[in-house]
Amino acid sequence: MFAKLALRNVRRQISNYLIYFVTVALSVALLFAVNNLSYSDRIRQLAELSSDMKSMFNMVTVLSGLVTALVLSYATGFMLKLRKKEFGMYLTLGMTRRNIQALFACETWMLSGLALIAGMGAGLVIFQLLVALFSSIMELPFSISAYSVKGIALTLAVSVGLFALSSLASVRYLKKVTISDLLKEEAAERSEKHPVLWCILSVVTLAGLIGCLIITYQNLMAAFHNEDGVILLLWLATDLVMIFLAHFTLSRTLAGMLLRSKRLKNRGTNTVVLRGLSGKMTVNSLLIGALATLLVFAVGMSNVAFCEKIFSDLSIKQDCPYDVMAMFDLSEEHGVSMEEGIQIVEQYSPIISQIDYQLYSKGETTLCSSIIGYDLMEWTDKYMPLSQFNALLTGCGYEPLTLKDEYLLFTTVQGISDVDFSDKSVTLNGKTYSWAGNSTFYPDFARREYMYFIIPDEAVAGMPVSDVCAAYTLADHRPDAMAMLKDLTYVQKTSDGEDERCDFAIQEAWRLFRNANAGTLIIGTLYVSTVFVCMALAILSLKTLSTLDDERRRFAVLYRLGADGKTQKAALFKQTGAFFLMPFALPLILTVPLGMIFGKVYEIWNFAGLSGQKAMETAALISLVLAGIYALYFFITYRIACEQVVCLGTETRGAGTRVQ
Amino acid sequence: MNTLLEIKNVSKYYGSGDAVSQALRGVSFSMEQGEFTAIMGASGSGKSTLLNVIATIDRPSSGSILLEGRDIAEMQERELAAFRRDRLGFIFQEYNLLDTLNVGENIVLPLNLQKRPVRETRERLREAAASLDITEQLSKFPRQLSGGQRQRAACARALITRPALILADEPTGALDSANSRSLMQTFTLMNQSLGSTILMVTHDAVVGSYASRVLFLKDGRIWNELRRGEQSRQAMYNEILNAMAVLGGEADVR
Repeated sequence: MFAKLALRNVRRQISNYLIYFVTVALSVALLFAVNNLSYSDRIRQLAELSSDMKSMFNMVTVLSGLVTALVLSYATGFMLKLRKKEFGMYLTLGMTRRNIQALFACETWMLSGLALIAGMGAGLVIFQLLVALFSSIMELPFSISAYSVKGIALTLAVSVGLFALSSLASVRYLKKVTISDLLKEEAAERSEKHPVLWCILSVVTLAGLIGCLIITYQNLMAAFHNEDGVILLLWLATDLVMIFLAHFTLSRTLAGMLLRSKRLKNRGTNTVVLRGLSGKMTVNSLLIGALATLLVFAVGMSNVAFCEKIFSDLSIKQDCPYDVMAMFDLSEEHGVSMEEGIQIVEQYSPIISQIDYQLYSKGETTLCSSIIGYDLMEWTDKYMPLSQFNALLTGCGYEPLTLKDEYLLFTTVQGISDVDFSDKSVTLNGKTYSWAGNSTFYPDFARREYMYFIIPDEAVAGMPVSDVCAAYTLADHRPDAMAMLKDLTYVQKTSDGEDERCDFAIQEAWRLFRNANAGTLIIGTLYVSTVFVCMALAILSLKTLSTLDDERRRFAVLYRLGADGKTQKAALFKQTGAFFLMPFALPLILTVPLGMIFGKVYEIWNFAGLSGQKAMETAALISLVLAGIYALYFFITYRIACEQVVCLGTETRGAGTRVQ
Repeated sequence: MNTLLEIKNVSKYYGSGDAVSQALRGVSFSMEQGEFTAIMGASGSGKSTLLNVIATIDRPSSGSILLEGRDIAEMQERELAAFRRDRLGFIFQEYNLLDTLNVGENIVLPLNLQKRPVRETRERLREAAASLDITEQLSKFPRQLSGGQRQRAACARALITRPALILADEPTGALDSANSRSLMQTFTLMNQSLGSTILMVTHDAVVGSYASRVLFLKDGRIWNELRRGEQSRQAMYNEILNAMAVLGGEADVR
């Protein structure tokens, strides 16, 4: 009997439950996708490249489980609130609490079951989309991946466990709640009581937020010049706190401030919209603050992840400009000699060109010793002859460098690039060379050295060779890099034990490693961001839908006063839209400055030109995805609200009249 | 006097097939400008249905309703909304003030919907509040007012657009007898001093006695009509009681 009644209730209230259904289904789908990703054999093979991948997926699974639990409990609470009067009425009519508990549990299990099936179905597709995204990031061909039994079982277990928990919570509530509490009207949402105080607080927190963002930007730039990163992190945390506070205070005052404008207030239904918003935003100010903070975090993380990928793509040619690069420090022993290494490389691809070059050193520390703040115990002044450096440069498509009685410092360390050597000249072979500047602009040809000096050839005549190097271009630019790397790697005994070592840098292997790391970061952050965004929007939707009873009464009055359907829909659109936009606007707007900041960061890292556009493209993409999810939830909510609230008279809806 | 409202042979059916029920059966009457008419009758007699079709929130199944010569039964939804907004004023049993708006905002809401200039809105609010003695209450919220004050605020909202016709649906239904009397004095003031035309549905014989004319509905038809003429309110009240007794008596006698 309960199953039949519950089924009828679910069908009758399907529009009310749509948001609940969509949210639960989406949570299950995301959980399913990430669990399958985590247990996929193919992804596990790729995961060998990235040590972070497994832990990232585990973290994401736990996080999404927690978020799903939160949303489920909130959504179940919403459904209880929606039905509490009905349950109160059942109790007064003589139904037992056990009957009502069974009825509600039956309904939620039915809905949850349907959402589980729909979610698993959507999860099948989302999983393949994630694999496609991962393959694309890894620059590997996409093929349909098999689903994991373990992944499916884990999703089922977690979902059913969470459903059971939320069901138990509602059963407990229905056991304890009194009939009068069930029948009691909800208190009306009231406007802010101390508008002036909150207005001042809003201005202060908004100014504080802007100030914090500016200081954070300055710290971010400074961090790239080797200043303390801890301070930057502190400022980032302060930004999040300020975002919360600014939203918390603004929620309590914004509508009230707008209500002070008589011109705006006296236009059409604006008073109704603004008063409604004022009450709703005051009551939900804490939630709005929390959601905005969460969304900013999600947007920021997504930006960081995508920019990491762009940076990784852009920097690969800087960090390993040739297909294979060898570097042998003559003071050390090597398990695989250069000749043996070349033979191994040629097993994978023929070498079509080779540039040999050396670093020279007398073991002096004249220049290195002037750099303060680094552990320079083992650093000696090393020089690369200009002709060899230019041969490498032109091979990469750069213009050759000109030095006249000068030396140039090359470094990959941002902090060192700022050191002033203008009072440091070196005298070699009886000739004095002055400082021409520092450069991080050119590709890195000596990856084991943090810094070296490029100097005219005659300066190194007679100087001992410290490192023998070579750069190779292969016929196949994308050989089986992982196998090649394995063959070139040897174990070396160190004072701490044994260490794996390879004197060859393989561009393709570097690309694979970096792609795996960037892919893990992107999938992880995108996933978490999507979960955050969906959760935030689901809560906003449920909040909106839970007040529809009150809205229906208000709009029935508006109808009688002459507001036609279009006017009512416009008012509802403004009210729902503004409520949804409040925690969403800043995260959406922040994508632009974030894009600009990353553009600036790329400039610092020598990727000017290409970088600005890439960063802005990323920002636009993230904004688009955010706006898409926003639009989905907003329009579902708005549509349901329109159906239930907009009054068109007795013939279309009963809300407009009270028939005697 | 000019005829303001003409109801001609209006019928209203609900349902279809075997389940059809007829709420109004060929109702006809007219109202002059400045009249105060009450509609009385037992539950289910069709009072509220009649008020709803005149209020344009329900459509008659047949017949015509002419307000200021325009047949509102023929109007499109958009026209009807504008018509309600500009030509009709409403007073409901449960006040129907918006709980989120203060009293002043509630009263000027119809003017906002008409997109009236701010200055005119302010001026009309001042006038309406003064005439109904609620100036002190304008910045309060409905929950801070007594039932009588709320209903006076609802009257001010109905008056503020200077409508052709004010429709009142059981306006004293939620008030005690003292507040009911006070409200009816307000209605009399609105009718006699401000020239408002009022059509009111009520169960209450005392409330009905304030009207200049009472129409009795029975089973969806006009059964009887009383006109006060020059007689006192008490005499009118007695006549209403007599009529209700003959009608079968569901009158609420206080």
